[in-house]
Amino acid sequence: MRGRPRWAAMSRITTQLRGSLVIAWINGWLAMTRMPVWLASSLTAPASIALMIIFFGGYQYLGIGLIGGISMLIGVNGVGLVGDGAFYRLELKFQNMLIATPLTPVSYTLGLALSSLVYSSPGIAVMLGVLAYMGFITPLDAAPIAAALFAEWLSSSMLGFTISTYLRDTRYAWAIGNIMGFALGTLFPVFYRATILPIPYLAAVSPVSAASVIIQYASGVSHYAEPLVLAAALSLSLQAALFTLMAMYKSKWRSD
Amino acid sequence: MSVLTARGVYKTYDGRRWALRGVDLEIGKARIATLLGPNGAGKTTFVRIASTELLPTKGEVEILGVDAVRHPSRVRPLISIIPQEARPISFITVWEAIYSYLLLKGFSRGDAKRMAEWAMERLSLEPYRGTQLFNLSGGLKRRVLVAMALASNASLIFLDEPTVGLDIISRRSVWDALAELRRSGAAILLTTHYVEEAELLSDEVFIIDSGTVIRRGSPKELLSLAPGDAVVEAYGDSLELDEPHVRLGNRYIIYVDSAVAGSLSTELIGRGMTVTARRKALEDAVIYLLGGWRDEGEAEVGSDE
Repeated sequence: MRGRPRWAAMSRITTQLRGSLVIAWINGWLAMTRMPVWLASSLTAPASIALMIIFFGGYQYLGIGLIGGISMLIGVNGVGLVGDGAFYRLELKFQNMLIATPLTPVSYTLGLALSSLVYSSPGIAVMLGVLAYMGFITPLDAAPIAAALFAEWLSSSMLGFTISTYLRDTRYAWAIGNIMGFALGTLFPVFYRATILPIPYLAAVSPVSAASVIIQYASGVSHYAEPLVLAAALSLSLQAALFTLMAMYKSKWRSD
Repeated sequence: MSVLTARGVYKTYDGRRWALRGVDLEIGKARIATLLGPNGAGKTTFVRIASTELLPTKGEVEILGVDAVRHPSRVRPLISIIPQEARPISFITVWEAIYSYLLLKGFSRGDAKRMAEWAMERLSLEPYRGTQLFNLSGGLKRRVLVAMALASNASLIFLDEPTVGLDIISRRSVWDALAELRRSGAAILLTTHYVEEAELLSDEVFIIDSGTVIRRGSPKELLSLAPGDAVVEAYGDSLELDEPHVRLGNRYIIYVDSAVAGSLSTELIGRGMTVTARRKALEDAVIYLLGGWRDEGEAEVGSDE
């Protein structure tokens, strides 16, 4: 019995999108449901920082702690693709096998990025649910929150994947992923107000803190001057575009 | 029509040392060709170039008449590759591994299901259909990878050292799978360090050394390129020999006719040497043609005649 790939019949976009969804199914859904320990592990850092902020700061920090937890979870899982990308390429040679398929590097990256979103979704759902239940966010806030989280997810995962393609040893990948997660998620104002910094605009440097600032503002948890929020939104959009272009043109797929 | 044609393929990674120095080869339909050579000879580099993963520094590679260097996206539907040391993802099942790979190759869901079933049946993987791959032996995992390649219906399949590290039973199960691939009409380019594997499976063997093909031919043709039909192996520090031989450290591989193998062995034993005599195998011929595997130490090819 023989079959033929439907190269001609399937449109290019459909093929690529389906490829991304297959990658997300494997690396996101199947991985999460069969190895829930990784799900718990990815929640550890954001949840523990959020809980600490709430315990020591009290109810007034509940909103900011949960918003920080959501932002950090997406950022940590996004840059965590440094590890997944390097592991699949260097240890399993999975990326090398996929080169002999119609999948483009962008579709592969998008698939891995979607899988990081799948991993993040249970934690995000719980934290958003608590925020909504406690009245910090309403359906009216959904659009700016969704846009900020989308741009943060795109930036962090594209950056994580691009870096993974330059690594020559998997052991570096886990370390670099952890360092990046720490730097992006805790050095910048993710779990505290940007106005605590001498230069609040530093919050716009990291996609994680930029998203946090936008969500804090949209939900009314923090009251920022509009130029700061606009700077965060502009920076986040530019980073999303820049890191996506980097993944498209600078990640290593076919080598020279 | 040739499935794979490579002409004058050169590759340097750093602009100074050459990994490939003008490789030429051709593979026809339903044929198994093997690249055989020592570590660092350029086998994997060539496979990576031919499978569109790596760009050559110069040279041409055509797959079914399509330029694989300039139009990689046009040849990718025609090929599958199982890279060196590849492993399937551990937490998915055998069926999921094959099915998802076919979806990524562009098959419709219906075709992917049918082809996955077909490949599992052909490679006796049905009993493991729902087993997660981390529960399987190394041999079975390799067989799953071969099943993925088989199911993909590719015209050309690259297998880079598919049996490295496997026990003999697992290796034989992979060999059966490769024979099945060939029967399905696919051309296969195999790299291996196991000469026995090349001898058993290959229609044609390309001996590659220092980035260039130094000999090519069927296993039988290559066997005939080394003198005699028997080999006497002797261990000693310094041995004066009239017969053609290769020296690997203190090991001498002496190429003789079987008619004189007995008398030579007796003579060498009389001189206090440890000696074995046997029929010449492809491995002996390859050692002769290469002048000894590089990583086994300095080798001298010669005859004192």
